Amino acid sequence: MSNGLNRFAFFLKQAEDLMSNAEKQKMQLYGCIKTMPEQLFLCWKV
Amino acid sequence: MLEGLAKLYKELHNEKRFTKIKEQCKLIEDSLGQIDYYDFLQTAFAENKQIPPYARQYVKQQFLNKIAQLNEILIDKDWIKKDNKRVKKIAQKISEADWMKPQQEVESIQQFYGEAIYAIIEFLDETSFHFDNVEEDVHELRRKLRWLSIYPHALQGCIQLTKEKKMLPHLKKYLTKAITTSPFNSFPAAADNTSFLLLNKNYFLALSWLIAELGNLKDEGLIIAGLKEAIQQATSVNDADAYKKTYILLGKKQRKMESILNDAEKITKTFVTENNLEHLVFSTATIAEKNRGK
Repeated sequence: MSNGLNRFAFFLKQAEDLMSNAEKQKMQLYGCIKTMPEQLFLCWKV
Repeated sequence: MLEGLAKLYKELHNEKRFTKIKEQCKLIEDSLGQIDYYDFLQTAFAENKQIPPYARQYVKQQFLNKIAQLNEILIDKDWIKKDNKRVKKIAQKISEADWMKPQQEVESIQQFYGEAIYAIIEFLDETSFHFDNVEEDVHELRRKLRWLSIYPHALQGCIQLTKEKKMLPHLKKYLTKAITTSPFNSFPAAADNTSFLLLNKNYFLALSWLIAELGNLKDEGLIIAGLKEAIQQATSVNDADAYKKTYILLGKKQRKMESILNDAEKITKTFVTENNLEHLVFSTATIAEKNRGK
């Protein structure tokens, strides 16, 4: 598998987990992101 | 991160495919940015007892509206529900892309960095280093600069920092303890990457300093802009009167917007005229060259 594909796959998995978590938390995606480790959280807000 | 990868890869290959992915991810990240803006204002206003209840209520309501808008997007665009259709669609699209060999990809990423830096310099040339709007000038410039520090994280190890031996005197002022010890300034490990783009460590740290300083100035400016916005939503005052009211509410210690914008102009001009952006990229390297300390 190419590195580029792996990179996307890694973040897509993260997005999938995040969305599934947000759905469980009654659509509070922002709240779920804010509870992520700071380094990951900052990556979402550009 | 997904937006960052799509933004970069659309310039490397499969432009149409990655542009579409970029737009889909950007919609989410922009919405999160808007929620975060009103969340930031809520916190800032909570710390100041002079802020009237109507302004607090306005930012709270905007925060809730933006969350509702994001949730609509998440459902409409199939990010949630419907068995994660959006994620699966993107996974399918990227699996069919024309991925390059590592060495060729890294050379293209080097070129991409050069073009991104040129675009930033061009953006600044257009303003002649004169900023008159915190959102359109300072925040926008910071976003453009910040992408340069996000790609190394998104690319997971294929961008590394050089091991600097020498320190140029003009960079010393940027390499504060907060910057040199920040965990955000270390890149992901090389992992199984075999080709690398090397960034000059001290120039990268200097860039991080500028991003951090512009971030502080942007936040200070956005409190003024946010309170002015809240005042104008609740009352029918013109810009000048809204600013007057804003500064009264924020107290004597609050600097004027002009002073914030001037500071942003000053540090940006110094940084750019030192040609620091042009020295950010060092070279590409194979794994053997990197291990030899290139």
